[in-house]
Amino acid sequence: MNEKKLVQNFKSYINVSPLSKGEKNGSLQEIKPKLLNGELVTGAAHSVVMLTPLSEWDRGRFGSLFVTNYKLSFVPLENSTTDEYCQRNFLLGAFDVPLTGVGAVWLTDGGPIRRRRLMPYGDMPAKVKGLQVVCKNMKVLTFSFANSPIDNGRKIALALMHHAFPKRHDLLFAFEYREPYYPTLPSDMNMFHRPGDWKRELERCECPHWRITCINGTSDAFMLTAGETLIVPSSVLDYNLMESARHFRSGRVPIWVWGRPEGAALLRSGELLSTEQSATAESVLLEQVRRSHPKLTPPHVIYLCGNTFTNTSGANVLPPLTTLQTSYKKLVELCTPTTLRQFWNQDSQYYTILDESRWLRYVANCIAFADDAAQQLANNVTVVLQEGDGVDYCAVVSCLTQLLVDPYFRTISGFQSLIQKEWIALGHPFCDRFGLPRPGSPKEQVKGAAAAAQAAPVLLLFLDCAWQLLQQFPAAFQYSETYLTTLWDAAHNHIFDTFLFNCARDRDLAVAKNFVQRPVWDWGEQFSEQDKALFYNPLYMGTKPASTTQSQRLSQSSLGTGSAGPCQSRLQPCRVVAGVELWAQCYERWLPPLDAPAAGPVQYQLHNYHARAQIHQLNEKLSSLSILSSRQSNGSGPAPRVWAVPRFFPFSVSRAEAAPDLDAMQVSLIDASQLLDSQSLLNAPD
Amino acid sequence: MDKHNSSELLNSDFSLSKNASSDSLDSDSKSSSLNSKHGQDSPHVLGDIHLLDGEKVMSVARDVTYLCPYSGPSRGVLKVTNYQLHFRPTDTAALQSTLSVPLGVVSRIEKVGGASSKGENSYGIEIFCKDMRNLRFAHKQENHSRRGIFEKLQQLAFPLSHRLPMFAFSYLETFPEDGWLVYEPIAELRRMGVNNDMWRITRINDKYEVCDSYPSVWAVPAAANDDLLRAVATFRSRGRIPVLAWIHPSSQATITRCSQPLVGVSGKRSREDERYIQLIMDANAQAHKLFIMDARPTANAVANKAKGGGYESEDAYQNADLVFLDIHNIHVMRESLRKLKELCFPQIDQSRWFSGIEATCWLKHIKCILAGAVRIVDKVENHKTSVLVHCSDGWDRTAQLTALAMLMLDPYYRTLRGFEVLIEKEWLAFGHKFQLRIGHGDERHSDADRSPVFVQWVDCVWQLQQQFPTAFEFTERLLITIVDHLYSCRFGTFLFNTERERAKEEVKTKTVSLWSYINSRQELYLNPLYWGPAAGGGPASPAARPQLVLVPVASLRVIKLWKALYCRWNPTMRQQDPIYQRTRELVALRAQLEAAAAAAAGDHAARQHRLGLTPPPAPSPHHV
Repeated sequence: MNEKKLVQNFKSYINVSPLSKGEKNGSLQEIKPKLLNGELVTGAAHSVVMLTPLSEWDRGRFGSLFVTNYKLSFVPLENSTTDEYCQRNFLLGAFDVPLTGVGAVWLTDGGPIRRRRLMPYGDMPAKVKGLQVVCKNMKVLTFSFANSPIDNGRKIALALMHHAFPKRHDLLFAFEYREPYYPTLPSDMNMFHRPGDWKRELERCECPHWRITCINGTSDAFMLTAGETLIVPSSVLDYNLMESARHFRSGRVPIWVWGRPEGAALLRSGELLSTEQSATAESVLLEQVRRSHPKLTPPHVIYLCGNTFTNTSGANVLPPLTTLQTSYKKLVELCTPTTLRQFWNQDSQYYTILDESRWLRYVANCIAFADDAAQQLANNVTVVLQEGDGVDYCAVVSCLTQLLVDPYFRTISGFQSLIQKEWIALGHPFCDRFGLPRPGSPKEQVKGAAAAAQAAPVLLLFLDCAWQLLQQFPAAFQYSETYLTTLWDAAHNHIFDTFLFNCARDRDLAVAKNFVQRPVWDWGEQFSEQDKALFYNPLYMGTKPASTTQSQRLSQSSLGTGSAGPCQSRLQPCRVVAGVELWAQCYERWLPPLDAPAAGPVQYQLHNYHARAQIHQLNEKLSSLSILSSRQSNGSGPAPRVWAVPRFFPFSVSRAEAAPDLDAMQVSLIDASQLLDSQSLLNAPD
Repeated sequence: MDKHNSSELLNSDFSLSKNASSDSLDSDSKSSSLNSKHGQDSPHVLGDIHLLDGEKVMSVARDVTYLCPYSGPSRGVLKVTNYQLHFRPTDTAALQSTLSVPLGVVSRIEKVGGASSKGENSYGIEIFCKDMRNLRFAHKQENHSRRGIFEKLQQLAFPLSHRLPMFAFSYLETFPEDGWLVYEPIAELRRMGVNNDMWRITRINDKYEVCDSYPSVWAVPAAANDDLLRAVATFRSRGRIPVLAWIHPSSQATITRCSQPLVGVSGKRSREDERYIQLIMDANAQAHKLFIMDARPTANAVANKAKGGGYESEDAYQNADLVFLDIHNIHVMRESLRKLKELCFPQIDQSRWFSGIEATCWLKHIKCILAGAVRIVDKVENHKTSVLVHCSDGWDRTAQLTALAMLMLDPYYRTLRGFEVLIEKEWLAFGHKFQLRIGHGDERHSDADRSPVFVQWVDCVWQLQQQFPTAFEFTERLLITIVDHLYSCRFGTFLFNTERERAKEEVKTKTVSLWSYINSRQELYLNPLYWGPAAGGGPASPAARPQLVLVPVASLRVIKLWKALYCRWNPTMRQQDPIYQRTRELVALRAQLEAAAAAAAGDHAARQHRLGLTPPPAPSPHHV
């Protein structure tokens, strides 16, 4: 049943006779990929068949395959309406993958079964019959060169392996892209670039006992992987910081990231080094942190990876990064079956494989840590997160904690500001974690195995946790599941600089050499208004009217558990493994047997987009009736349209019976607070 | 665990949360913003206990400690009525430990510890429930303090074993609507277009003489006369001959159901049965084939030959294709759910949660049933071929499959009333042995006939709901309510095994139907996301009804564990799910605005009329 369903939209080209093949070869040469300004084709193969996912051997599409300095691009011979259906990206076609999104490349014999992994700079066999590309977002593309001119397969494989795994950071396409950039970021977003940005955050949180220091921007810098601005206890001197930094990994002394007006603050730090005075140095700093609390409450330290200093570790601590990477690889394996047989084999032991990957346990552990931290903060106790270099799990748990306690971060602008603060400004090493080359001279390059040891999907772990929160509190966030999934995709699109550097220092050096910064947050660079509309959660109502602006002070929303409701200040998540789910939209969207029309949670979204659209329409009609009294109004407007979108809309690879009228959904971009007046009528007790 | 303190549990906005110990039964505690006038169930309030009409307190035990596995021991008063077990803590701060458990859910009661047992709370009783939980009470060790309540509980929880009437016969509450009228067999057959050229309604079983576990009204091929039906009945196990379950409105392909043929080891044949099957096939002009879906695994079907049963041989039934659907028997399912209970109650072992789910095999069984129903739907809908479904007796797996396939094929059954009709028809009328499978009021807790077949089917329905959130008029809350009252014995609906027994015991006149209760508070169960045929308002054209047929994905990647049912006693697993509530608010707001717009437009027209203005012909482009 399922087998039949998934292939019915595709034509078989495999069994075409050799005669017609010859003819097609002629026309195939004409096919060209769409190129961006600065993009160059570096390899091409014609008469390539892209096999339909999980279709065994005989289904696919004819076309040409190109490797450019930006992407791997398949251009089909014939266009189909299917291609226009899914989320459209201005920069990438439906069958394109940015080179940095390529995870693993496998050699095949033309069919869907994997044969051998191709390693960067490794040997290339004389004849390449087929390639399988497993992308970092778990999409699998399988190409067969059985009908291609001889050598085409090998050429494209060489080009791909060469360009997808560049040796130098400045070979990334972001350095070549010539298109001018005109920023149009939302005004209420905080990029945490300059000291003033941090000052604004400090003021928003109303924390008077903390001060800004710019010492890290001077020659006395001690925390090289962080930006120039740090927030520290008012009582601590820059000199003390420099002294203490020697005792912390990467100089990561505890620094302020968030606080509440009542006094409790959230801090991040690295692990203590096992030097003689490190314990003293820590307690001195923690004493300063205590003094920054108006009630002089001592801070609570949370050891995310166990306390290495005292060598104690709890049962639910977060794993070393290499273990996280292994876990992720198992997850990828589970979500990228290449044949139907493998798909159903995995199905029969699905939970065992899922359990072995341990991914969901780590997700639950992060949420549990964040819940602990939020609990402490709600009790007005300052929390210090401590972990390794203080740039990985610290960022995950710190972000999650802030999502739990501060409604501002649950808006789209707030969420983006949060990532700017915790991941960009405080220097999560994206190059190392994503397996990209480091900027700088080749001498500094970490070689081979060492580089691989640094790779880990920490950002994905955070996005997954954020998705779990969204599942548990479907009305508390302004962004939708589609937004989070798109963000993960965009993290591997290296046109944007957001996730392209290890630290602010590297970025500043590049900018000094005329590198154009292009934040990924400018979603209009990639998506139309219609697609952007799907980033908004139709259930979200905001906290209070106009409370989503950054100027609102924290004290205006209470942190207690008393104020309940979807917009309550503190969210108390379910923190156990049994309460988390696999993020199907992100991980399983490329598996056609799972896709079905009118199925899945996306239907909730669409239904509510629709209801919102109608409410908006009615509101307009009402105001037009009352204001323009001479204008006649039509009975009930157009009849509601019923959408039957498939489960993985807008990422679905299968075609829906009826494409939704996306224009009608644009209204969801309108600020929800507009609705609140009439809404309050409904909330009033009867 | 401590973080879930009482104030949090009382947090009204998350009243949907399934909190551990408060009344489960039904979700009455889950009052939503749409709390109706029927939301209050209990007209009589005696002290702190809510009594139903006809309910009486039979025994009271003071100084009892309820050992809640989540919030710890709390001391209070235990009362037993003819309907429920009620515990109220003396400490008002521990009100979350209030219990109200219908005695119908009790499966077994045991004494724990003896008069000489050492240790705090070691002496008392333990109650094992059918709804995935156990309750422990500790009594004072002096004076055999538990004896009175224990004996009373035994008696009232197992009235059948003590020759007492079930509570449903004492329950007196009246509802505006009579749920016994929801299902009218002739009307339902008419809805499907029977009688027609090919199918006729027969009352041959009016006195339940041909088949005592079948309903009195059947639809059979018009070409089959009563003598043939009687002859076929002798060749089918317990006389359960193939009769119509559902007919496709356009293709006339049918789903028929029956029990296994009495083939035996010698391979007996029945010319009448063969002819009758041929008539069923002939009644569908679109296909020259009939699929016989045997729900059992092949090995079980073969093994049944030794007991005189078996399956249709393809030699004897020339145009029939036999397919085995590999669904296991009631004993396997009972064991599977038992393991699931171990996994979910009382504490969830986080380290072996996923492997535990795998080990119960519960989801794999669900997958098998869904996949089987999908095959039936595929044959009927896509190949216009009739399907005959049977297992051994045709009242367990057969009912699961036909009812599920009908739910996928016919949007009517996805409405609240249609769903009630479906249960009345495929489960109750066709004799699913509820009494045996649930063991209402019966103390033989280890009876091998007990099995969660119906609950498993409800789980399958929930899977469909999860996969197609807009296809059902009702929410999961209805399903949970049905499961609760499957055990509660408050309503007559699920009592007894067959229509015949129910008629003999005058269930319809002496008890209240569950549907009376549900239909009088429908708004609690309605799905605000429902986009049924009525939602468009227009004529029921196929375009306006995009989801006539549901084809679920039978993969474990999509089939989920129904935590809201199986894990609902665990406060750490509470679900925070305001989707429905928020959607209801949006929908209500829309309705309000629509009304306001209509009123304003009306005013407007009136004013213009007074002024003698003619409205401009075209509506403003604004609204298009």
